[in-house]
Parts: sequence; C-alpha cells; structure tokens
Amino acid sequence: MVLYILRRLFQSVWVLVGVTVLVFALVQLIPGGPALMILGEDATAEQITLVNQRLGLDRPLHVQYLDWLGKVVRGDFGVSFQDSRPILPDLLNRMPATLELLVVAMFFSLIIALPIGIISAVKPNSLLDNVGRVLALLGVSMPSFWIGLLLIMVFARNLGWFPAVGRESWTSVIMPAFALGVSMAGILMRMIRSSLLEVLREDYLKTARAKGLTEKVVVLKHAMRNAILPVITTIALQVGNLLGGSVVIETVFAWPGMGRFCYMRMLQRDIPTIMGNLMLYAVFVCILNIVTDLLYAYFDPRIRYSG
Amino acid sequence: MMYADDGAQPMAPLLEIENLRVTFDGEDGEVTAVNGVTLSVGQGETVALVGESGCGKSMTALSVLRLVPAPLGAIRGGSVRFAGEELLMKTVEQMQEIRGRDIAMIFQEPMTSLNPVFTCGDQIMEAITRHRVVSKREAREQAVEMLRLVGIPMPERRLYEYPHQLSGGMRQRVMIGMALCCAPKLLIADEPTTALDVTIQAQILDLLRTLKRKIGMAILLITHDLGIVAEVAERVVIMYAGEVVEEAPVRSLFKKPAHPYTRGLLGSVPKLDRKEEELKTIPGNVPSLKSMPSGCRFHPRCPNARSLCAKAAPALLEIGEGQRVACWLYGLPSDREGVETL
Ligand SMILES: Nc1ncnc2c1ncn2[C@@H]1O[C@H](COP(=O)(O)OP(=O)(O)O)[C@@H](O)[C@H]1O
Ligand code: SF4
Ligand SMILES: [Mg+2]
Repeated sequence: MVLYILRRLFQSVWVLVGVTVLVFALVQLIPGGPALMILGEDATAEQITLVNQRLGLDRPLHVQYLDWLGKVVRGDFGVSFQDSRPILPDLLNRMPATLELLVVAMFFSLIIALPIGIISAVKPNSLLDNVGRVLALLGVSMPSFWIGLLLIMVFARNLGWFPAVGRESWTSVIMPAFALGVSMAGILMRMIRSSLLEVLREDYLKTARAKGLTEKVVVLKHAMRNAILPVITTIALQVGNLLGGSVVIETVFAWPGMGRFCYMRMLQRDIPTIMGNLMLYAVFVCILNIVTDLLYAYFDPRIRYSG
Repeated sequence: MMYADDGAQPMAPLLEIENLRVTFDGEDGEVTAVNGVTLSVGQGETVALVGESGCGKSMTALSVLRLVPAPLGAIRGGSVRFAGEELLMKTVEQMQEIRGRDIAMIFQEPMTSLNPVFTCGDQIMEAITRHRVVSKREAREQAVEMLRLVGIPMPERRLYEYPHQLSGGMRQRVMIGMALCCAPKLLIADEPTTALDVTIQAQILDLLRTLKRKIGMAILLITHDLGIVAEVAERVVIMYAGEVVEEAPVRSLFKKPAHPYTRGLLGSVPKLDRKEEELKTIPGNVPSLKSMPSGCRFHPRCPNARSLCAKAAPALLEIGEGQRVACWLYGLPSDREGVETL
C-alpha cells in the first residue's frame, strides 16, 4: 500500500515535469515573443533586445527553462508583466473561490447523477431511465456558459432569487456551480448506470439476496460499493474538465476565482501569470489523481493488498 | 452412509415442490426452463437433484427462494411449500425473512459468489445480524465460530481477510459457514463442488456431510455428477430438459435405474476400478428449450424409443418403493398400440 502511494507520487512528479516542458514550449510559440507583447507592435529592434536582455530571454532555451523550472520548484512564479506584483500570492488568493465553485458543482452533479443513475440501472428502460437519457444528452450538448446565461436571465433578472454575479452572499455560488455541475451530471449519470448495470449481474448479489438482505441493501451496499469503482475514475477525469469549464463560468458570473483571473490576464497577454496559473492547475490535477488513486484503493481491497 | 430406510414411513416433508413451471422471455419468444417439476425433501434428508447442464436444476432451486432472475424469468405456476406453508404466496418481505434464516443457499462459483469489497467476516456477520438480534461483538464471535466449524484455520485472522486472499476451497467453506450461521432447516447447494479440483471437492463434500450430522438440516444437493450422489444423498431426483424423469432412493437408483436417461447417465459415470472399459455416453445433445421434441423429450436420444414416445409425454409413475419414473416402458401392457420400437 505504501509502495503503491509512493509509485503514484513518483509518477505525478514526472507528469508535472512534462507539464513544465509543455507550458514553457507553448510560450515560445507566441509570435514575436514576450518582448513584443510588452512593448507593443511598434517597438524598435533595440528596445526588443534590451527587454530580452533584461528578462534573460537572450540566453539559450534550455538555460532559460532550467532557470524558470528552478524558480517554480522553489515557489517563485516570477512577477506579472501587467502590474509587476509577485504572481503566486495573487493566484493563491483566488484559489478558495475556485475550490468552492468546484466542490459545490461536484455536489450538484452527484445529487443529480446518483439517484437517477441508480434507478435507471435498477429499472432499465423505465420512464425515469428514458428521462435520464434525455437529461444526459442535454447536459452534454448544452454549453455550460449558455446554461449559466439562462440561469442568470431566469433566476437573477426575472425572479431575483439569486445574485447574478459576484461572490457577496452565500447564495452566490449556487447558480455558477449548478451551471458547471449540470454538464458533468449527464456523463456521470450514464456512467453510474452502466457500471451498476454490469455489477447487478454479479454472482455475489445472488448470494446477498439469498442471505435475506433487502433489495435496498443489496443495491446500495453490495452493488454500489463495487459499481462506484469505475465511477471514481470518471469523476476524476471530469473534475479536470470542470477546471477548464470554471474559466468560462467564472467569467460569465464574475466569480472572483483563478479562472476569471486567468482569463483576464490572457486578454492582457500576461505570460508569466498564465504560466503560473497553468502550473497550479497541473498541480491541482496531479493531487486530484493521487486522491483518486487513494480513494480507489480505499474502495477496492484487491488494489489495497496487492502493493 | 445414511440411506433412507426403504421400509420406513416417509419422513415428514420439509419442502414440497409441485408442478413448478418457470419460464424465460427470450429473444424469440418464451421458453419453459422448468416444466411441471414435482419433488420433495424430508426433514433432515439429503436429496440430490441431478441432470445435465441447462436442464433447469438451478431455476428449480432458485424458485424455492423466489430468486428466479426477474424480469426475464418468472415462476408461472405450481406450488412450493416449506414446512407446510406456501412460499409462492408470501410477500417479498416475508421471503426476505425466510432466506438465510430457514432456507440457505450456496452456489457453484466460490470465486465470484463472495463480494470482493467486503471482508469474509463482514459478510458472515451481516448474515447473522440480518436475522438475529445480537451485538456486534456477539456476531463477530459467532462468525469466528462458524469459520472454525467449516474447518478454516486461524479463523480470527481470516475474519479480516478479503475473498481474493483465499483459495477457491476456502471461499466455498466461507460460503458454507455463511449459509449455516442461522442454522437453516434446509440448505440448497447448487453444484457446490463443480468449480473445485478433485481433492478439494472431496473435502467440501465431507464437510457438508459432517455439518449435516451436527446441525441436522436437510440438503437439496444439485449436481451433474452421479459420483457425488452415491456419496452423500439418500434420495435422487433426475431431471431432463426441464422435467423430472425419475426419482428413487439412492440404492434403488444405482441398483436398478429405470429411466433410459438414468441408465445412460450411470453408464457415463467413470468407474475407477474399470479404467479399460470404454466410457458409455448418451448419444445426441440436450434439446434446446426453443425446439423441444414432442412427446417424451428424451425420445430423439433414447435407445428404447417407440412410436408412442414421440406422440405423448409419459407421466411419473410409481414402479417400486419410492421409485417413480416417467417413461412409456413402464405401466403399459406390451401388446398396446404404438409400443413397437421406432
Ligand atoms: N438468465 C437467463 N436468461 C434466459 N434463459 C435462462 C437464464 N437462466 C437460465 N435460462 C434458461 O433456463 C434453463 C435452465 O437453466 P438452469 O436452471 O440454470 O440449468 P442448470 O442449473 O440445470 O444447468 C437454461 O437452459 C436456459 O435456457
Ligand atoms: S418414454 Fe420412450 S423415449 Fe422416453 S425414455 Fe421412455 S422409452 Fe425412451
Ligand atoms: Mg446450474
């Protein structure tokens, strides 16, 4: 078990190294390079050389990369092109808002997906199964920003139940989280259904019924404990997608999180901030994967005991 | 060996299945998996239910617990009485009380019959607490006791192990321990040794015999292996294509098998002391439920078939002490029409 965790941690380190290479390479692809971006289109050649020297951009690429990597590892994400403030504190300040959004979105998508998914599997082709099928399709095909705008129109403008933007009251999170969670609920629902449908054929459920257990215990305890395993992986993948979706949703709802910050800095071509943001996202996804593996091991003793 | 005494009064029936019919909705229409099966198991008696794979043994057994896989499968008629009470009339809740407490069942596949994500102890304790008001500690002690009873070494440790950490034989022992923890009056064992290798098979059968003596339960033992039958059963019911074709005390069955199918089955039991002798097998295949032969379902494979056999189905007929057979070879005067061989 300890070995298993160590192996996963080791793998994550390599993933993160890969991400730094990618992030670094992406920035190199920007036409004209950062100097042109800072100075504007009509910069002279001398100005560009000067800026490049100041930023150390005249050094060989691998030197630049290792230098940057060394700083990132030490938690030094550099300063913003925009306002010359250190990047990391600005990003970390916005992290709680984004985490809140993700957690609540996740919660919404689970409370939608679990009951419908389970009932759809227990009674396949029933009315609820078909309703679930349609909902899933809608959830997947409607872009979350569109759902977000719809929610703002109906529940903020017309009904006035929730604030349209910002994060002033505790109800603020409901609409953006719902908009974000719905798209995930569709996929999750179908995943739970198919996973449970598979498990419901297993011999050990016959054993559970033969013991005299009620159908509720058979399905919710004996079947779901097994059916949840592949779903955990799906959830982890989906949270990665949620992170991407949060950039859009935070922008639509003026939610003061990392996503909106990143979006604004992108418009301003603030490259160090974007790099820092991408790195944090990568760290987040890696942590998520490790948590997923731990959860998986917790739920599946066959993994827990195989090292 | 505990043969039923041929001359004694029949034991009070614990389980009486009468005219049971189970059907399945298939892709091309409904098929009858169990067609009018009648059998009984006495108090403390061991009855073997024998037949080739697919002949409806498991569905007959699952019907007793009302666990025929819905919605495709369904019990369509007949009666299943347990200790005099009609099980087919019970509510779902009443059946859940009976399952595991009065009637327990173990299955063919020890590898897949235990839930992989719960410890053996949890699964046994769950069966105990389902039907008995006991504290968690008492349940744990009883579970350890059950594991010891079924011959699992170091039961205190095994309690915390998961099924994948045990061998097939050990898992089947856990299954048996779990089935017997509420001291049921009837144990249905659906091919409990088929998936195990020969030495383990013998150990499990031995265990069943010992436990039966200790607990005094009745056993409905399902198997397709007549070798097993001779060792543990007192009475045998032979099924073919969803129907009972012969029923007899185990001694009579081996001494004078009446039904041509039974004779075929006995002929195909390998005898260890006669290795050289060619293994007799029954020619032909088990008919598919979709295209069931008319009349006697065995007639396309039967060496004794007559023209009548294809026209009408024979009913079970008593031909000796406790021996009943469904075959036109018995009970008809030989000069009757249609008796000439096919
Ligand atoms: N899940 C199922 N779906 C459709 N038909 C089934 C199913 N299970 C069993 N049957 C039918 O019922 C018949 C009897 O099955 P079963 O009782 O399991 O046989 P046995 O236990 O004697 O091998 C089979 O031949 C098959 O056609
Ligand atoms: S009824 Fe006829 S076909 Fe059927 S077993 Fe008897 S002799 Fe054979
Ligand atoms: Mg079977």
